Amino acid sequence: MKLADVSIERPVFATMMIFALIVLGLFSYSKLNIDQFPDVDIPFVTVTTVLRGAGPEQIESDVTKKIEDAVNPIAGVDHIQSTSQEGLSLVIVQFKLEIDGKLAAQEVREKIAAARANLPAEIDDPVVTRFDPASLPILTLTVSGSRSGKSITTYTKDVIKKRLENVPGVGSVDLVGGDEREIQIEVDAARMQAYNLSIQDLVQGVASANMEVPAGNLISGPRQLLLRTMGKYTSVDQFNGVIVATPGGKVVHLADVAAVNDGVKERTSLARMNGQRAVGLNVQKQSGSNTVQVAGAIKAQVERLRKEIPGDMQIAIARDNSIFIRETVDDVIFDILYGGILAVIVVYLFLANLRPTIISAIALPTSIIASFIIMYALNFTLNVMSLMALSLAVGLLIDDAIVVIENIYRHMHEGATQVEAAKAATSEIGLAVMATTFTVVAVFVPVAFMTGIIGRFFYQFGITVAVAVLVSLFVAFTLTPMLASRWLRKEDEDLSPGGNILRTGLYYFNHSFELLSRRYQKAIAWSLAHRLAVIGGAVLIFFLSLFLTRFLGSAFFPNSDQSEFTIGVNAAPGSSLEQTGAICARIEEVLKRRPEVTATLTTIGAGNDPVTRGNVLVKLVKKNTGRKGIESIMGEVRRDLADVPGANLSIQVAQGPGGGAKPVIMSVRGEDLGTLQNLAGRVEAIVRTTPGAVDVENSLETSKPEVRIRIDREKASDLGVNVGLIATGIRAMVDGAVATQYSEGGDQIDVRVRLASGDRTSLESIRNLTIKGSKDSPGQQKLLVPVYYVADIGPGSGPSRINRFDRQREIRIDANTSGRLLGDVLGDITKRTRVLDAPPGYSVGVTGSGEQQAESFVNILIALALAVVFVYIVLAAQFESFALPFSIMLALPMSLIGAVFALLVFGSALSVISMIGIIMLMGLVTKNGILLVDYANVLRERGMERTPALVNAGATRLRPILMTTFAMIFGMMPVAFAMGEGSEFRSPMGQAVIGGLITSTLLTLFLVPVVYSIIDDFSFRAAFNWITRRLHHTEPIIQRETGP
Amino acid sequence: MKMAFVVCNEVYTARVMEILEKIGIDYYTRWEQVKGKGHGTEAHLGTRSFPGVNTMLMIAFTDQPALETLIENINETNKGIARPDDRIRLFQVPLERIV
Repeated sequence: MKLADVSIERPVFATMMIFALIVLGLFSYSKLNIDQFPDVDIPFVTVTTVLRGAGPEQIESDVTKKIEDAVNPIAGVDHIQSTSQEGLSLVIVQFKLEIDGKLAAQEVREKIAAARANLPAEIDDPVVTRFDPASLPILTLTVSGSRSGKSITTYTKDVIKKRLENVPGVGSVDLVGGDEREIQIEVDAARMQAYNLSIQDLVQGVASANMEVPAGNLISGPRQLLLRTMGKYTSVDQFNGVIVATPGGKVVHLADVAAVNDGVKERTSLARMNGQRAVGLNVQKQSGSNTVQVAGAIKAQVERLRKEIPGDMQIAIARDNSIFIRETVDDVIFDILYGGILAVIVVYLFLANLRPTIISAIALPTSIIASFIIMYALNFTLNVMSLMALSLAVGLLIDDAIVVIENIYRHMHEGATQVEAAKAATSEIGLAVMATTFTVVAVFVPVAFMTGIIGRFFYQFGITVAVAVLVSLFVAFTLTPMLASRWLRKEDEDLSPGGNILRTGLYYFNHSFELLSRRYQKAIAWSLAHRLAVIGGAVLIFFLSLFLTRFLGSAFFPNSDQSEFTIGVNAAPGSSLEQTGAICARIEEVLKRRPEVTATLTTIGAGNDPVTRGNVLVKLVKKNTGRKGIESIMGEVRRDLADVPGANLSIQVAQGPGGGAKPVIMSVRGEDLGTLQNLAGRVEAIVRTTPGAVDVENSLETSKPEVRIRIDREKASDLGVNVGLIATGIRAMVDGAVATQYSEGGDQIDVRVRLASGDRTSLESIRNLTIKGSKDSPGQQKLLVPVYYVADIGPGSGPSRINRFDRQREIRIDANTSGRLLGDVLGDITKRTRVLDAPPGYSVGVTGSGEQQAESFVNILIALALAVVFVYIVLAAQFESFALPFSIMLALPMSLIGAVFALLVFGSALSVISMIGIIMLMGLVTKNGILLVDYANVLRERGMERTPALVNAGATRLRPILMTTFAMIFGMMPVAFAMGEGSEFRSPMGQAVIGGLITSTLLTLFLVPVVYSIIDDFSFRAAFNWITRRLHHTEPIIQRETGP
Repeated sequence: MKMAFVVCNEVYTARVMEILEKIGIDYYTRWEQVKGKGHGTEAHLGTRSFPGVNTMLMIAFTDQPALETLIENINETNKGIARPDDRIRLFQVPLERIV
């Protein structure tokens, strides 16, 4: 082999080639970013529009639908989801995976700008952001200090929040639970009416008295002076003196009709760290940006801020997702190291001496380090998937080197010098080593090119394994023969029972192989004599494994224990912030009693959430402290909180590939809200009665109490008021209107004019509010019209939020799972919803994780089929036979029994992760078959009869087969038995592969020779002749060239 | 005058060349990648089943002692080669004339 010969003859060149790979690899490693998973973020663009005081139905028709229509034609839009709630429209545009989020956001901005004219004039300008509001914050900061809450909040909002928003990759920073300063002008309704004033008069009066307008330049001789009207308030007290009206020459000051307070804004959010109030800052990243990088940049910014903020204020990091990611990545790196060491120990046991062990072991770090070059070139990150690929491949990477070293030894034993042996051995087995490596590549390339989210997930996994094994092949043809040619010693091979305990142990370990090999020879001979029994046994085992899969649950991704979970609180519609706060306080009390809880972070009304929605982040002691599993703790907490009234609670793990949404989501779609509600009610009943479905919630909250003002347009017109005047007037009186901003020390503080609280808290007081019409009263003043004159005011109820999906109204019934796996729960639910008689135009379907799981399983099965086809292609090409690959491939199903059994023993589910493990097995199991069949073919070509050839091939190849299998098994052990944080996510793959490897190796050692002999009897040629005879009833057209 | 044909497994070429250099024989004709099979020994056909190829040297001797020295050295080298199939072969034939 040319490559090996050059490496042997030019050792310095070979060393430098590998050294260059290592240097480049280490350089690439230092540049690789860390992330939890590959970038599987779907590009989301969110359009948030505020229309104060508008109800959900009005928001839906006036804002949401118009925005949906505007963004729908954009190319690459996958789904449009929207929520219309009180005063707020949220349109979430989900783009296809391959779309660039930045460009998509730009296009959305353009479309919204064009549609602005069709939207109500009173809306705040729509805000377009590039993140998924459903995703959880990556970092939460709390700001506290000895100064007043108002002062802390102002500083946090004006300085800290703004600085954090400027950090690259940050999607949004939400301030939660602050006391924001506000100058409140509380108007006495009776006095206002007595002076014949409207709320608008006051708003305008306050606004016009607080102005600073440049008046041009004053050119006085050679000088030019800037002219400014200094009309800004310089103290809060000055508001009292504002002249708001001069009826009949009498001056009415603001103090005559209103009280001016330097207060705080009405609280709409709350944050509590371990039960203590704090100002919280939730940081969400932009879609597609790297969590660890963004968190790192934020923490660097926080460090700078700490030096700049006033001494009596502190910033603390309450939640940091990047820590878990770093820990997980460190754990997987540990698995790789540990697995590598175990694999090397296995090799040492078999080779029984240090030099060849070290030479083969060098292939391991070299291959891994060199793989980083491609990972960097392809813009991969160091994430669970790419590192898991390396940790599972550890046992594989040493294989090629082992096979080469073994053969070099054989040649040395036969009298060749190191150089001669290295050359001869590498060229002799080059093809077989290449074939085994290519089968592994053939299995992983389809895995890398799966479509959908799962494809993105496994792209890095598949490519990393493929690259790593290809690099290990390169090392086996360059560094391994070169080192062997310089460093191997023939005398090293001599092993005797004397000497130290280690040498004696190694002697007996290797000696027992000879016994095993003799027994195995007999067993093959027996199998070949009882072919039917062996085939029958294999078929039985295969069907048994299929039967056993019934006992395996299915899940999208394994749940991982990250030592934290969240409790979502959805208080009854109409609950105030205080009520929701009280519910959260009860939850905090319950949690405080649990010894494993280390901290709680409560946020209510964060982001765009209403005051009825809260979230308690529960942090637990680390998993390695011997505490209970997170699932059982969550179950107990769920039981403890069962009697908390007034809220729906959702207890779930803090994060995972599925994001922050609940795993079970049933989507009910249609147009009419009544019909939809009815259908959704039936689906909800099904979900509620399905075992394993907990924290069931219906996205339509109908029971929010409302006060509806229905205007009599004719009457209103007669009195000179119109709907717009009434609506804006009532809104200004009840909700208040920001008339102007008061400047103090560089801060801009809102000045809100609204009625005093006593005048706007009862139905009666609303009825008596007055609107100023355009008609004059007898006293030549504009007529004040009481609301009850022109409108009918009464209680009502309406949906508190209207959700839409793909421009259709949607109600979602979502639930968490407890005690049962997602696949099982969804299976039961869909079985029952399928028979629901949905009216035409209405549909019930699974969405969220369940939908992704179903799609992913199909994609994996396609990848499995492709992997099998590619393996066939490689084998057929290698053996130059259409039929022979089947003798190896029929052993593939034998891996299933071990994989299923191992998953059952470890209590793991059939998830995307374990299924990829099963695909991986296809490549690994094939390796054993290749080694066996390849040598049997060689022996037969050398003239040996079939049965002795198979028996001899088995005996000769038993050692390398077991050696490589044990190296793989021990290499994967740390993954399968991982105990670190979040290890539950990756261990099922290791478990499936180890289980499958054990059974398939044991079974293929017998099955492959038997199937080989059967296929040899019933070869393609024989089959062709048989078919020809059947078709034509004539003599065979192809004659056998040789005897039987 | 004698003609000697030296046939060896390709991997032993370097060793044969070392012998020639050691005993001062700097005249030869060399064929590489030669396939063949000896009496009762393994074939070297460069295939997966019969791996390996041979190298062949043709050396004309006008001087008998030089040939004897070569034969001695080859015999010595063969002692270290465990597999008989891989031992270096020398075929000696009479040589009538060198032009």
